[in-house]
Amino acid sequence: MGNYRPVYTKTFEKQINVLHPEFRRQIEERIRDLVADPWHNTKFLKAQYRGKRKLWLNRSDRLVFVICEECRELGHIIYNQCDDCDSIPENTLKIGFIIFGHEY
Amino acid sequence: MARTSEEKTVDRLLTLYLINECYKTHNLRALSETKMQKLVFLSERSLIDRRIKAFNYSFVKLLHPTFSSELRGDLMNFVKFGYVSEPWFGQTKKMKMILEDFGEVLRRNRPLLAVIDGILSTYSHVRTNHLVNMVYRMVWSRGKTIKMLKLGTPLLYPLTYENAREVFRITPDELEDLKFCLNPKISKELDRAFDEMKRGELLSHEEVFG
Repeated sequence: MGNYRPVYTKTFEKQINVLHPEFRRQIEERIRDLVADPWHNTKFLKAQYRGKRKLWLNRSDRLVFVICEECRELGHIIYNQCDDCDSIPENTLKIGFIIFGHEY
Repeated sequence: MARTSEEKTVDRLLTLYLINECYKTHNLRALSETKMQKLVFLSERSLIDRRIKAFNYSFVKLLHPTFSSELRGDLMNFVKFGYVSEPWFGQTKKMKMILEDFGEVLRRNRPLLAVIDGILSTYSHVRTNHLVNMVYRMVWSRGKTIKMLKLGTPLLYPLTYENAREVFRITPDELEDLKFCLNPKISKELDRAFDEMKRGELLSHEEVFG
């Protein structure tokens, strides 16, 4: 793993568990790239999802996550409001959810 | 024909815009579903008359007398997912955030929104029962008023791109972000994932990928 430490929601785990092993492996690879540079190919979401980023997994699927370091620096704590903010290391990436293109 | 996901998203944004304007600019204190159905119907009709593709709801003649089940579905989801408050489709923080963050999209479509603004200036203060009677008396086709039409008669349906002189302008990236915010299914699942994130219910890489 790179500079950042990824942690995952249970919802993400459920999503991953039902995927084809090849697609699952591709996602794991994309996450390995993400932990090396979480700003590359990513962009902030808007409105009620302020403070969260999306990563382009492929043409239509997106991975939604939060960079704890950035959240603290930019004052996004007001949007993310994590209970474990005081105890979680700054180099954490909270990986939340995959938005599949066929669903939107 | 069923609305495309782009049409649904634009409809939802414009409906939120219309609700917000009713409260913010026209200082309404309450907004009923019947009134919403009329205001959206009149706005869409006015846009279609100008061959502008913006609202894409299908309306039929019913008892009150114009009704869109798609609009009803969107309004119900707005309430369910907290985009508007009960019981009078009041403004919420979520709604304000959407309109703020997609303000650029709205500014780009100013001429089109001016048509909706015009309808709201004329009709938002008209009492609902008067508005219903006014719509009943509207001449629709071959000299027949809406009142004279059979129940279930289609009144409005989406303008096709080929027949439109102007369309709602939104970039693919803006549309994608807006879909994430306004699609009830995605919203529900994202909210669940973010709740887990908030509560710190998280798994390590090894627990997920082995």
